[in-house]
Amino acid sequence: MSLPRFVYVFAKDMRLFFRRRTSTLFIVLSPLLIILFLGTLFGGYGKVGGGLPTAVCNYDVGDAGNQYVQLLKDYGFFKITDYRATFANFQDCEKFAELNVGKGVFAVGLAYPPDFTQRITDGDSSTLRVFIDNSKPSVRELGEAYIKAVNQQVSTRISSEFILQVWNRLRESDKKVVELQKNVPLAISNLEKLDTELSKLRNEIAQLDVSAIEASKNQLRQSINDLRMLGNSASATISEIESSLSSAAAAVDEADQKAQLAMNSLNSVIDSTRFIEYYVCVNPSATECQQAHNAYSGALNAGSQVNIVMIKTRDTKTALLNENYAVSTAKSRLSEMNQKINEVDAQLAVLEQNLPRVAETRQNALTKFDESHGLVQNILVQLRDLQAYLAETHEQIVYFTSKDPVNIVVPIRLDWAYSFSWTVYKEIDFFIYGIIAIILAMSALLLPAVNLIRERASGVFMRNLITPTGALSIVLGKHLGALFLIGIEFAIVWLAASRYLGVTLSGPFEAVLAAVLLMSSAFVSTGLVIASLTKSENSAILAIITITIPLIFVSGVIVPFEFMPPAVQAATSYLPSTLGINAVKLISLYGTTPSLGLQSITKLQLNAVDYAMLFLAAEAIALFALSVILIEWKGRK
Amino acid sequence: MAASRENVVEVSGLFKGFGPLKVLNGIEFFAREGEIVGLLGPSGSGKTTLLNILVGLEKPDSGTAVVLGADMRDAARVRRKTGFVPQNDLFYDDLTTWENIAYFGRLYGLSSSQIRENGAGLLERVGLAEKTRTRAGELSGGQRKRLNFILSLLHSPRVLFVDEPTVGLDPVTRRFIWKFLDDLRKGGATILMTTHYMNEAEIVCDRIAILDKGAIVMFGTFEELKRQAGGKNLIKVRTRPGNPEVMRDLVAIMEDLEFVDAVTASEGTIFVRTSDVDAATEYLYRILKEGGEIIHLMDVTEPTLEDVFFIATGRKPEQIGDVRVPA
Repeated sequence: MSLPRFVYVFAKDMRLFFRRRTSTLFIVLSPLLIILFLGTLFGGYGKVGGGLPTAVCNYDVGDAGNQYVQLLKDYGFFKITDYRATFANFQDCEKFAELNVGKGVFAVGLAYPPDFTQRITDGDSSTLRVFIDNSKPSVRELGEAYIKAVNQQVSTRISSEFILQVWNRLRESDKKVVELQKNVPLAISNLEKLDTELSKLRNEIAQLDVSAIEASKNQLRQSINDLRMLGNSASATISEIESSLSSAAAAVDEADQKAQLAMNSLNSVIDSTRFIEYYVCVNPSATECQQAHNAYSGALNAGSQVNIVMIKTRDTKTALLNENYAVSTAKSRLSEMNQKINEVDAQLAVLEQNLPRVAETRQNALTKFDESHGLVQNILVQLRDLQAYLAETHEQIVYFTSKDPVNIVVPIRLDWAYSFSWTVYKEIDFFIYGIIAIILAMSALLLPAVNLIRERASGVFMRNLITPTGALSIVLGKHLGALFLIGIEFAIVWLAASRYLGVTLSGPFEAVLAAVLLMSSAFVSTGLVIASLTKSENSAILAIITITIPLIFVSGVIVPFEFMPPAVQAATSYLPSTLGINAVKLISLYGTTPSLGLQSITKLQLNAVDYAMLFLAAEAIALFALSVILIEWKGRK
Repeated sequence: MAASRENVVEVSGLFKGFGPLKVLNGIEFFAREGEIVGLLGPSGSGKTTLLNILVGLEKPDSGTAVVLGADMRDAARVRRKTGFVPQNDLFYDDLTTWENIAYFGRLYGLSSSQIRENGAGLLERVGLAEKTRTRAGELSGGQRKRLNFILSLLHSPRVLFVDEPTVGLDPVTRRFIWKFLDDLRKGGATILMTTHYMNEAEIVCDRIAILDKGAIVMFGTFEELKRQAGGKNLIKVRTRPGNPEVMRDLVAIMEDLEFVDAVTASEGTIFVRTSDVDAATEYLYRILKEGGEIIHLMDVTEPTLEDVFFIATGRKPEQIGDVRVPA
């Protein structure tokens, strides 16, 4: 199976490199000699020195100050001396610490006032004065870092306790409030219902007048008696009328009969007269006719008169019958009335029986009203209790929330005071990264550049270019070869630094290696770019030196980065050397060690590391691309 | 120049300059499949530049250079089918013979088995089979040249560009290289070769292009070149050395003669191309007899390649630093 072609370029370069014994020897010896020489020369605190000389004035009457100092001691970075016993008061001790940090006797000074704990407990912030010798940037950086870590840890603990206390209290209050919340609406609803019923009852009771009922009852009794008397009288009268009507009816019947008889007779007369008229009036002009006619007409008239009488008689009979009917009806009505009177009488008797009980019921109602009223009063008392409790809770919440949250979250504020002692301390921790950067930068720049120039000068590079393998694979193979050698140098340097010089690594080695390789990759590509632009080995080396020395200086290796003018800092912040050295320093010095409580700082610094490494990666890629383009272009002009 | 399917290399109107210096001035030629074309010219005539363009190491200013149908501005397309044998021995001295073969074989995209097969075969052919484990820096000059060839032939290219293949080699090795080239041609490869050795061009090449000052002044087979130079109508005259004024006067006189078509002269040698050989020889013979030893030698034969070169460029091979090696 064929591997990618850059692998073969890489293998060829490595084979060539290690076949030359002197090269192999120098790749091992050179970094070793440099690191041992410079490292021994500068030495430093590290873990070898026993810790940073620190003066402490802990006059805190509470516990927070002691906790703080104990945590600092646990880190092992500070060599702490507490001068509380030496000075009678806090101010003298504080002055002593400040003065001696300025002289360089101590690197750090810490002053805890007597009310340190008290202020925290009260919810106000406490101020811790910190004196730092600023002439040693690594001291400042490390000291600040550790103190901030402890501060964060203690502050977090204090603010967590406080917040927990508040939280528990609020939870208890909340439980009661929830219970009360369930009861109050029900109470209110019941109260309202009760109030309504009471109102109704009250109205009813108010309307109920027993004496008036008694009077009405008597009056009613009297009326019933009166009605009975009237009824009897009316009955007698009706009987008389009935008798009269019967007599009248009999007379009318007789009249009617007579009228009927008369009518019958008349009818015979009429018939006769009519017959006569018929026979007589054969001659209409005859007087007999006229007489017959007059007779007939007279009979008719008599007949009609009798008819009229009969009609009137019958009308009278009908009227009498109707009168009779009406009298019967009246009689019937009278009978009904009597019945009703009897009923009313019966009801009145019942009323007379129940009237005493109404008084009793009224009394009972009044009693119930009083009881209900008492119940309402109780409920009102409970509601007032609730009101009082809520007011109390509100007061407490106001009390807690009146505190500035900043003071709760950061109960301890650091008051930094920087001095500059000018004492000479050995600074291996500061210089080690710069030494590594110098060694690796020079190798990364020179190795691939010289290799490329030699191949180009001998012409063999041309033979590489005329193959189907593109410049990308060739450059990548050389790039990886250079990185591999840089990796070997770095391993040697780090081994020497950690074993012999006592430099320790706080963060993961893989992160340091990644930062170193990214930085080196940028330099390797820079070396290849220089090699592609220069014609000879000499000019390439001179160009590399011209670039490297200022690069190392402005990266903060020799002179602290912070001491450079702001314009220079701004211009050089993004150089591969600056980014690489900072990343390595941050990972190595601060690292990630949960047992030391450095999470917050670590997180902050790792973000800065990520930031640096992202930029490094981007620069490495961009420079690599540039090197490929230039080599392709210059190789095939 | 008409395109042909047989042509594997076609160069047309090629110009290339480096700043004010014009190196190639309208080069035109072609090479057919299975032939060896020689690019013959003095140093500075543009041979190497032309070759660099044909292998894709340089880009022309104008014109076209097409190899196997691909414009060499995009040489990546045909690198797998072309090979280049540089003048210098370009490989890694600190790697062994076999390591160099394996490395460059990989760069050509060959598999392990292909490298083994091709490499072993080529080593056998050139007589380096015993030197696989020897560091390339420890090989002799001839062995280095052979390794140089092998590295360009591993991938069995159809077109091979060779730059001065026998410079600095002993006669035995030279002949070996010539035969090797001939064998490659018989195998179907097309070879474009630069040389400043006349006899090498004459022996090895099927056709020759003579370059001078960035232009091809003559192109064709040797017979065609001779005809172009004058063929049987060419008279070669040597004057006594140390008399440049006499030679100049003689040239001036000859140029005025009606039976003389062209006169080329340099450093005591004059080539006269004439339409009437008899008249010209009679005239020159008279001068030889009566001229007081002005003419030192006179010869009427078909021109050699050197003569053709002289006629084409106006300069002798010695004048441009060539070393003539007897065939």
